[in-house]
Formats: sequence, structure tokens, C-alpha cells
Amino acid sequence: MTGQADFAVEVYQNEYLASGATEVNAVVTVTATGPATGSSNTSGGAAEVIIVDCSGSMHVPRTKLTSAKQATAAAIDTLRDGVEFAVVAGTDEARLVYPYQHRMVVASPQTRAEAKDAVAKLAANGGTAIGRWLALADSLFATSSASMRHAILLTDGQNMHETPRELARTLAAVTGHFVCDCRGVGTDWEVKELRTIADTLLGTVDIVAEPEDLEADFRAMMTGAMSKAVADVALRLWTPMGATVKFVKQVEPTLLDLTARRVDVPPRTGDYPTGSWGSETRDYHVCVQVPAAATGERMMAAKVSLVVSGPDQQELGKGRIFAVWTDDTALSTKINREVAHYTGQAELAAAIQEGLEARKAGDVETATAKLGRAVQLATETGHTDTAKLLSKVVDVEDARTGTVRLKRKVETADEMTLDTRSSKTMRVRKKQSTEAES
Amino acid sequence: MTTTSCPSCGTSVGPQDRFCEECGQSLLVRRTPLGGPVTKPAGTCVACGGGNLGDEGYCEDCGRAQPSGRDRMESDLELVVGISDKGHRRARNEDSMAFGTVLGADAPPTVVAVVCDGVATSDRADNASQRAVDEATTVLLDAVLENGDPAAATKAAVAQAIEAVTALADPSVPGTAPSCTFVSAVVTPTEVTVGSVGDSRVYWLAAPGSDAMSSRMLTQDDTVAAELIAEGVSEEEANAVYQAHALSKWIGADAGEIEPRVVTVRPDGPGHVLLCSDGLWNYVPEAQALVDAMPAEGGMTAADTLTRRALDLGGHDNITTVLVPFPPTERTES
Repeated sequence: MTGQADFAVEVYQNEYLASGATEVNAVVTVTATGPATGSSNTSGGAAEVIIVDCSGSMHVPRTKLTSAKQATAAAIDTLRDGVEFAVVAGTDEARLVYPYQHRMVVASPQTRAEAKDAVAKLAANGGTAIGRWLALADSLFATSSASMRHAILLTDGQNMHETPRELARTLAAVTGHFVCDCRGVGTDWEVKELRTIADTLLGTVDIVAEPEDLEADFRAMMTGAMSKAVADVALRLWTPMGATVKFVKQVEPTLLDLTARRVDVPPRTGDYPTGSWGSETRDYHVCVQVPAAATGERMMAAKVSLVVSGPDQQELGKGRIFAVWTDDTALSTKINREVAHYTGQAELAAAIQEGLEARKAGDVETATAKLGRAVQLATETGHTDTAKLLSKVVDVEDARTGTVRLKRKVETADEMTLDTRSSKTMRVRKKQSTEAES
Repeated sequence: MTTTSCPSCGTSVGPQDRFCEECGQSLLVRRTPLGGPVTKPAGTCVACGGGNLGDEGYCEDCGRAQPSGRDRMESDLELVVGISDKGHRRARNEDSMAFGTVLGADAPPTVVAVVCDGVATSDRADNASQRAVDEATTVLLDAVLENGDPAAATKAAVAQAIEAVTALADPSVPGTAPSCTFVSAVVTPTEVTVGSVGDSRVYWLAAPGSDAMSSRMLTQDDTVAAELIAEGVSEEEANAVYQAHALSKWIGADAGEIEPRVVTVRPDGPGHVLLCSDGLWNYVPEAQALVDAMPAEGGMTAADTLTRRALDLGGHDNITTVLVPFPPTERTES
């Protein structure tokens, strides 16, 4: 990266624990400010690989491939001068569409025009093996020295032409090398599969049910990628001796469980990858189990900072999570509203995903209960977008109590939209940081 | 009294000197250090014993908060003693105490003492109370050295405390202005002058069996309930109102125009003047009960006994106990 990025960390929590309690919850808000968008357009800057599904099914309907080509062209137009890029066509194999040799090229009016020509000639033919597409993208990124590496992956089908294990192996091999935003077009792809890829590669997943919406979506995704200014940022967490990290989740703008992604940095510290950052704000829910101490004792339960990878490993921002044991139940039973908000959001996402899973499996009782709970939570938390999506899958009798009936006929696109967007969260309106009190 | 070394810095001084050549302090004055008689940190963690202490006051290994030097403050200036203890429940000690003696020369031996209790809902309450006691004590000691009127000096001390605490307020953060209560005593061989703002108290504790003025509370609480009682509302009704024990007056930027209550008494017999925060009197509110709880000889043993009583009864709040013998005369060699 170039320029100076900075990260501000704020902590929201109720530090008071009842005597004997050991679980400390906090919402950590990280705000990145720093180099102006576009300041990283030097060779040290950004690299972009666009992966377009060219399997045979992209012909059905015909508009799908046409729209995908238009969307890819629009994305290419959005590339800033100086950004390295390449375009990959995916079938049961992966083929480099542009440039013509195995490398990446620097975006310029000429290379953008050449790339769009090559994309215009794409034809759909063959199967789907997403792992191989990712592997080719990874090997292309390896030819570049850019630190900001981003891929767009578009698919319309399930990963039929390689085993889940092959995909998992490739995913593990490329994790951390680049960020990948995934888009499913139509309704024949698998939400869970694409979500796994996006989550692992710290990107977003979404459905583009109508092919004609692809262009706007690609342009938006590319604009987002171009606005990133700092690559490979990790959330660093120090916890005291005897403590266990129960979970670290990104809770805004989307739900993303980072717990298993910890890289130990001894002693007592671990890094959780967060990908690339522009000027933006994200929230994390941190849950730490600490050894109980006597009433009146105060403990630093965790220290939070951000680490930008690089030779000097700058540690930026500073947040402190505390635990104070008290006999005063008025203090210890108060639930911090930020923590409550995101706990609710996580429960909402889980209720939707489990409900849809049960519905698919024919378990009407579980599906009704889970989706009913989801309706109730979405209504309580003012999650109107989600409530609207839910109402396309269930008939709501009483939103307040969560009484619903499963709709007999549901559009596949509606169900998949609800599923993919379930992990999208709503920002809590914050009052004041608890750090101001100490 | 013959002084051979400076009570402030220890430099040896001549018998006729009134000020130390080294540090410029009056040789007649002894006082608690500015910032409070804090305990020095041990250097190892109180919980895990490790030596890896961070500069934020927490152990870098086990995360445990290290006791602040303010958690237990003790000072013995012979004529006046004091203990300020964090108690069992609070995370910090937000009480502060400061006191001093003026002995020798032509003036009668005089003790001044100040106790302030930081309001827990305010920001940096410990800082506020410490600044208040230090600044007020300086004003009172200067007045004694200049033979000023104790009542006027008490008002001046409160004004100075208000100024010091107000200066700590951060105008950009509303509602968290640091604030504290205030009690002071100027004790001469004949009179006791007390000043108060808020709900810290000064008691007169007559020596058992003496014919001095009977034991009593010398201050009046500035609380909602106390004001209602003063207006004729029954004690029971007053204590039942919403926020009965909330302060009606305090020291701080958001306190408005306030005047301390100032009272002068002549005890006419031996006893002790006790200055304390509500961490003590909440457990032992009656003057006679305090006399009964305290070893008659006074001194550090008595201050410790009273503090321990409050700790044993729950120690819910910070506890500060300052004791001045009356009359304040040098202890005779026995």
C-alpha cells in the first residue's frame, strides 16, 4: 500500500460480571481512515482477476452469457489505470481469456480495449469446476507484486465437475492470497457452496437473479474493490493467561465467523484476517472466557488492535475489553445494547439458514418454528428488508409472536435471495463508547 | 519545639530558621504530600506474581488490574492521622484526604484536615477529590500561618477547591464533570471550625467520661432527604422520596454557585474530631457508636479500628477516616 492508513478502535461492552461469571462479550468497532481512494494505483497497488462462468448452461437462457459479457466489460472499464488485471473463463477447466500469456497486465485504454474484445468472443461450453478457476487466478496473482489482490467470481451452476474435497483443498491452498467476491446468477447454483468460498476468501456473496442486473452489480463490486487502500489487515487480539477466545465474528456489514481463522502470535496473542480495507467501518463481536476473580477485582480481558502486514507489521488502533466482578446485580445483569443487537442479528441469520435448510429437507415443523422466530426477530429489530424477503417464503399470521405458515409455492429466486442475504447485518445506532468511562 | 531538620525535605536547618534554605517550605508546617500519601507499587503482579506489568496498570500476563497506590493511603503526622481505603466493592478509591499541622513559633498548635469523596458517577472523580483536598489544605495552612480567621479561611478553601475541580472538567463531554464532596476542620487548642459541602461528615467525639461537649455530628448532609428533614418533613417520609440520598450540593463545574456550611464550636474538654466519608458513617452513623467503637487513645490504631469496622460490615464504598485529637497538643513523653 501507499500512504498512511489509520484505524480507530472503539469498544462497547458491559464490563461488569456477576461473581463467578467468566464470559466477557464486547462489540469492537473498527474505523479505517487514511489514504484517499485511488492513491494505491502504483505497481505496489492493486491486482484484479475477473472469473466468468462459461459452462454450457450459461446459454440458458441466452441472455445469461450476453449479460455476463456485458458485466465483465463494465468491470474492466471500472479498472483504474495502473491496476494489474486478467480475465479467466471457467468451465470444467480454467482458461486465461486475457492477456494472452500467463501473466497480468497493467490497465490502460489499450489493454482495456483488448480485454473487452477477448471477452466479447467468449462462448459457453463445458462444465463447472470452481476450484480450478480459483487455482488459475491464484497462479496469475503469483506473477504480480501487487499487495491488494481481488477477484470477482461469477457462476450460474453447482460445482459438478470436481469433488467437494478437491474444491476444499484448492480453497485451503489459496486462502489469504486474495479476496474474492462471489456472485450467483440465476437459481441453479448452491448458496452454501458459494457462501463457503466467499467467507473463506473474505469476500461477499450475493444472488443476481436476473442476468440484466449483472452489469450494475459488477460495476459496484469493482468500484468497491478499487476503493480498498490497505491489504491484508488482521484483527489482533491479546487475551490473558488462562483465557480462551470463544469466538471472534465480523458482525457488520456482514456476518463472518473468524474464530477458526486465528493465527497464533505468541505469547497470548492471535491474528484474525479481515482482508482489504478502504475508508470504512466494521463491527466485530468478541467473546472471551476468562478465569473468574474475586468480587471487586478488575481484569483486562482482551486488547484489540489492527495489524497491517508488511515488513514493519504496524500495529494500529487500540481497544481494551475489561472484566469487573461485582455483587451488584443491577450492574452485572445489564446487557450492553450493541452486544444485544449483534447477538440478535446472528440469531436471525441462523434462524433463516436453519429454517430454509429444514424446509428443503421437508421438516415442516422445524422450518415453521425457525422461520417464525426469524420473522419475529426481523420485526423486533426493525430489519425490514429481511422481513420483506421472509414474507415471500412464509405467510405471516402474527409477526410479534412469530406465528407463520410455510407458503406452499415459493419462487426459487426468493428463497435463494433470503438465504444469501441472511448474513447481511444492520448497523446498530451507537450511544457512547465504554472507553470514555474509564 | 526545636526543629533540626526540614519536615518537608529532610535538610538540616538552624534553630532560628523559619523556612528551609533548601526547599523553601515553612519549617513550622508538616503536611501530607501533594497527590496523596500513596503506597508505592510492588513491582510484581498481585494475582500471578509475575513481573510483566504494563504501563496501563494491568498485568501483561494474567490481565489483572494492579492496585493503585490510592487503594490504601495512610498518613501519620502524629497530631493527625488518616486512612483512606478502597473498600471491598469499588474498583477505585475516589476518596482523598490531606492534612497538615502548624507547630511552634508564636502561634498555638493547629491542625487542618480536609476529606473529599469523589462522586462515583462523574469522570475522573479520584483526580477531582485529590486536587480538592490538596488545594484546600494549602489555603487553610497559609491562613493559619498568617493568623487568619478559620471561618473565612474555610470559605476560601472551598472556593479554591471549586476552582481546581472545575478546571478538570472537559467542556466537550457533557454530564461527566468531575465532582466531589468536601469537609474540612481547623482545630486549634480552643476551637474547632468545620466546613462542609455534600454528604461527608465531621463528628465531635468526646473522650469517655470527660465533661466536654457531648459527642455529635458537626456537619449537616447536603442531600435531598436532609434538606426535606430540615424543612420539617418527617425522617421516614424524607428517606422514602426518589433519590433521597442524592447530593443536593457538591463541588464541581456543574455545581453552580455554592457556599459551604461553616460552624465553629468550643468543645471545652478532651476528645477527637473525626472527618470521614460516607463509606464509614453509612455503617456507623451515630456519634456515640463511633466513640464506643474507637480505642480511647486515638491515633493510627483508632483510625484503623474504625476503617476495619466499615470493611467488616461490607466495605461497599471507599472509606476515609481522619482523626484529630482535641486539644491538639504534642504528645507528652510518658
